Amino acid sequence: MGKLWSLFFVFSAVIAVALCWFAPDWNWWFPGDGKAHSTLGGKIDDLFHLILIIVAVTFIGTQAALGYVLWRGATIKPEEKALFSHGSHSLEVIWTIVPSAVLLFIALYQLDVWAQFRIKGAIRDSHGKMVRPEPVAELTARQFEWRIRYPAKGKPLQPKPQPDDIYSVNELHIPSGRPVEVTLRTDDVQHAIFIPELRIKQDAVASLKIPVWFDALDNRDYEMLCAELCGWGHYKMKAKVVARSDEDFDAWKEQASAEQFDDGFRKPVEAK
Amino acid sequence: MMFRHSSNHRSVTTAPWQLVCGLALGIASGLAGCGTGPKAEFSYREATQKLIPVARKAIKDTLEDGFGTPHNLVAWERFPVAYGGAKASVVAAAEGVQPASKTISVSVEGDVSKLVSGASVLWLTGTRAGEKAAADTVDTYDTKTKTLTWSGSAEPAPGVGDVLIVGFGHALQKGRAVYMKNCMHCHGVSGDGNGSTAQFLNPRPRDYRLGVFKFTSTLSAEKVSRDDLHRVVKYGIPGTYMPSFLLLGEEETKSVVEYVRWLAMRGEFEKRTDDDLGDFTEDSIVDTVKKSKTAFDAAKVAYDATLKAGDKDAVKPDAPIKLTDARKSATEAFAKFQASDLDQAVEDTASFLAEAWTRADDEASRIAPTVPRVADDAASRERGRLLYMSDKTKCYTCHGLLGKGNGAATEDFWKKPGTEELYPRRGLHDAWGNPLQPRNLTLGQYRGGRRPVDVFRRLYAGIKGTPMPGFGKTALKDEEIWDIVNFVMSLQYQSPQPAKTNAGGHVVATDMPEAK
Amino acid sequence: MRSQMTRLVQKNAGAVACAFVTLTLVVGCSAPLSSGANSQTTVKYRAASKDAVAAATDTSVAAATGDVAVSEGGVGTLKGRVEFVGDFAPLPPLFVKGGAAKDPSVCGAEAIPNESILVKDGGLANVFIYLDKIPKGAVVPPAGDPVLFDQKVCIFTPHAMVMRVKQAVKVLNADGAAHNTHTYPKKNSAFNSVVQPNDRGGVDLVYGQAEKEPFQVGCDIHSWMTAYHLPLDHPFAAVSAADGTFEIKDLPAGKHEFKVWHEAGKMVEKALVVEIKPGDNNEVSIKVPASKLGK
Repeated sequence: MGKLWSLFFVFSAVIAVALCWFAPDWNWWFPGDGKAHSTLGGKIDDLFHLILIIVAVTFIGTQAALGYVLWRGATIKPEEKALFSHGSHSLEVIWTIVPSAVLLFIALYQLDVWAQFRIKGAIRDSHGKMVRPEPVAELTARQFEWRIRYPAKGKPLQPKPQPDDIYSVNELHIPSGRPVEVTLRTDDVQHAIFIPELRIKQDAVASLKIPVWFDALDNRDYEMLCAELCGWGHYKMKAKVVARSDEDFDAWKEQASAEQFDDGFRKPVEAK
Repeated sequence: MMFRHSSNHRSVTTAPWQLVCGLALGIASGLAGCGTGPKAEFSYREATQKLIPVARKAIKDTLEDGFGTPHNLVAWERFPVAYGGAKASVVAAAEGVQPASKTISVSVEGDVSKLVSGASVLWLTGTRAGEKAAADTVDTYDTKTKTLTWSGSAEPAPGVGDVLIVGFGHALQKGRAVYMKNCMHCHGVSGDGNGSTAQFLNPRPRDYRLGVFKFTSTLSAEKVSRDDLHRVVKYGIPGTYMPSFLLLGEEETKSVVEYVRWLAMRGEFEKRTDDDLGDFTEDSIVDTVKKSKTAFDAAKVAYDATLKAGDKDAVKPDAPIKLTDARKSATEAFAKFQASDLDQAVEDTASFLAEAWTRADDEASRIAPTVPRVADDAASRERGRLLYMSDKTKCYTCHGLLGKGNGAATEDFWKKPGTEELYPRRGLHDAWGNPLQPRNLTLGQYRGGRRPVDVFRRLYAGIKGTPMPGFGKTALKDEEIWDIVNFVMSLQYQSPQPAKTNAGGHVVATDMPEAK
Repeated sequence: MRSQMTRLVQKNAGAVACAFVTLTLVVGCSAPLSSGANSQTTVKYRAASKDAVAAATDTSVAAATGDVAVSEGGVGTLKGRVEFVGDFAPLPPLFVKGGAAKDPSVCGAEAIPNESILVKDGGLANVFIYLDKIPKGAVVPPAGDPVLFDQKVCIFTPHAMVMRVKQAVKVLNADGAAHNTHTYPKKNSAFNSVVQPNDRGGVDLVYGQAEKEPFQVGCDIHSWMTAYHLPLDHPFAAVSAADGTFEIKDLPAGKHEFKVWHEAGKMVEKALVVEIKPGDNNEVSIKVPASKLGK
């Protein structure tokens, strides 16, 4: 019986590893097409893979040891005496220091990426040059939608709403290919902006205006979700991030401005 | 199975029956949540519940015949709802094809792409109409030769000119599915604004059953247009819990708008039929009995007095009507009404609704300014401010002198419309009986849309279902309305010059325009 | 007790593990089975109106254009008086002169009377006497010229009014302050419009549907203002004058059931049967006891 149980536990570990191995083929891996579409996203993915490898090695090692110990316990003859141990000081030192060292390594290794994400002005474009992004929009999260305010074409975003500001809902337009900043705020409870394909996540906290930097490398639409439980509609608080080239972005702004200041007057059609 | 029994140490043993039990337990608990769940049902208005039982049954039957239940919908062609499906008529049996081959030539109006294999076929006229061919589906449809082959029995063969609809009702079903998933929890299964989440929301979700929607582009006597509903679904209503469903998809949005219109028609149909049956309520029976009793009491007093005075010719007053007799006579009266007038009343209501909802999408019902927006300069805003403060419009009585929505009218007790009772709370109320604060214009929050044309429409026709009146074509010219629009839209950025009022709340200032 | 639970679980560890694994598998894979609110629906087709009913509506249209033959029994005029039975003390005014709650400079020019019950010489004013439906064989003339509905010193004149469907009602304003006339009909769309001060041209108000009962008309600025309108698709209706008298012309001979409505008691008489004989001499006296008006 004991053998069966030890096999069962080892088998579970094998299943876990196998699932992880085949997960990307079954589309159980990173969202979208699996690639990160921002510079920082790529770095975050690298970190992810590093940690995955470290953890996988540890997992396989410990599960193998567990399996061996279980098997030994199952197959030991009843007359064999158990080994009575008072503990091993050196063993304890080893299995404290090694994991700490690994964790410390991970903590220090990711500091650079963390700094790039958090610290103002510390974003580098694909050539490695420091670029200070401009606030492209103010993103207001509210239950259960995203309201976005853009400055008029050619003007910078002001903290207070301006008469020529452009408003949209659930559709964040950004220029692609370069770093942009979005000012995040919330109208009511805490929300969080989460753009999985760009690997961006940031909580929106009441009374704070939080700058979020990222760059979208490709001209396509990305999905944006809310990642902070904010009420009964949290699950459907989705939005679209529309990343287009600068020219297209400007053209869109013009069109949106014209639609927003539409006075509804249409010249009567000349009777022929 | 390996069994180990040892008296020395506890061991884990597993008898076969334990494994079987475990399996059964796992399956049972896993499947516990499966199944169709409770069936959704349409709710009925309070007024319907207050009718006498026979009248209530008549209305419920009429509604079921006309609209069905949320699971078994009835698509009544009378109403201007795009139920979905492509109408086709038989042109001729396909050339050179045996009659028994179930292939016909058809001319299709509507979306030809819906003629896919497996789509349902509904024969409206001809030999196959009715129950005989109820389960027909499309086998193939050839777009080049325009021939349709159906699956099902070959007999009876359809004749030339027979009308059929392919994929009937699929848009309504899709709309229902989208509605149940996204809208029902606030707006309720019947669109009564009383879903499970509604109790936590302020303002409350719209109750469609009055057939009134607030933010429309149509004239004040017309219903909401499809465009308006489309806009609301797409962009939401900022400042309320109605979110934007921008990502819903074009087809889903269209179908849910149709379903909402259908629910609104059903609700208003019920309301109007309730009004038609207004005499047949429990309250009116009780009222009749009470009135008859008071009349009897008064007459008895008079009779006793005349008797005492010695007048032997005094006429004894009739006994008052008993409750059971009143009920019986009401039931009989209703039976008479049902036999003679109910059908006509139902037809009238259906015609009225069909016309009203069709008219709503006409170009003529839409409000379009006759002049472009007046230049948004200081002069226009000042003219707008003076109009805002004037006796012509009295905007400030509700919206306040600084546009903060705290005008004097918010302190008054208002009368319930059509009655002499007052609302229990101070301030204005909407047509659904909810308290309604006049808009705070300084917030820059425009529920009906922030385009200048949207604000123009609010001023031109007012807001249906609320005390906000219309000024277009009557009180104000289009240029004056634009001046007020410019003023109102500037309030988000600058406070207006305050005006003085006297004790009666009437604005007095040296530069008020004279009331013409 | 916890140790007892642990022992129980230990003894039946196999069963527990098996149950857990099965549960996970079933829950994970059972999505196709559950449906809920989005279960399969059916759609039934219902054709548009039946032909028989369409024909019935046509006769009324024909009647309105006067093409139907004149009724055979002849027509009669109904004259009558609505009498108030009981003691009546005139109601105190809503506001004394100069005391109006809003716009006292305009609305305070006179005292605002309480018009809910008006009795003069024993006659009750502002009572609606009307037929529910167009009687058989009646000739329904087309709607006439626009009728006037005025507002003076913040009082509606007339206080009670009958009009024809599609007949223009001109809402006028004789005051120096704007009025926000707001109607509350049951079948028609509400009219909610501001009427300019001293507007003698008037705003057009047209009712598209006949109503079953009179409904209230108010002003959203001056909340005490009330009036009652009743749009009908026939002319066989009247409102009693200040002394309670009324007259309805050209009623087809025969038995008719009149509805009698007053704002204080609502439906005073649901079906007042009156036999109309051809000619001018039909008289009826409708007695309304104070009890029916809630007094």
